[in-house]
Amino acid sequence: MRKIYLKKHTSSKELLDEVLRLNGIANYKLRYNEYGKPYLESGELFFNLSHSGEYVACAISDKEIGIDIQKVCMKKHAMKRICTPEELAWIKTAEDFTRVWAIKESYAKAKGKGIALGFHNINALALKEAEVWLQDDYVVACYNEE
Amino acid sequence: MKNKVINLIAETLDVDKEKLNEKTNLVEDLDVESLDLVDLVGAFEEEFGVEIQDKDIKSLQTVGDIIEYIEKHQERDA
Repeated sequence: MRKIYLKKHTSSKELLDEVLRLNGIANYKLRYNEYGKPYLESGELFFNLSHSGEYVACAISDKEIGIDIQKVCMKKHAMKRICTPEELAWIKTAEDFTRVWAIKESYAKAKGKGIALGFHNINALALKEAEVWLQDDYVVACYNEE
Repeated sequence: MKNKVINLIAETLDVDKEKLNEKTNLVEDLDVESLDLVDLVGAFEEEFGVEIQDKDIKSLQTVGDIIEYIEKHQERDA
């Protein structure tokens, strides 16, 4: 099971409240793993949040999940730092870079470690399980554990 | 060191450096997102010739944290 919600002009907390309520969870308690990833104490389902600019994204699943929404941009210092040689050769536009970033971020968040995972070790171009699409001028990427 | 770090943050994040001090929190005060943070880390690595470990990035929450980290690792890496 996987559901994704995108909303503008809201906060992460408000969207999470709304999404959980829509999925039958009115009251909940949050805990955080050692890397700061939040999860439901009850373990009823897994969720992940992301925000960029005016958008907030929330993904829920019955398995570990990571989501990232990122306004299309080019960040040269980040690109040098996180991209593999294959990715650097593949990236031609700001949208390409943003896709690579969002895929890595969604994967790392699904693994529960975020940035601490080491993005230069992840080959975004090989992560076929990641779903990626454009929403207005934002890239959204979602990765689910199998 | 402090002025160099503040100038680099202001330039990379496109914020007014007059608003930055050692207590400035990157997320709470500047609304820095993950990608901005990684870009900033990359800029620091290039400018100061230090290597910032991925596992340490989350601990860099304020401008003061960054200054301290760079000072400590510049001495060690020298």
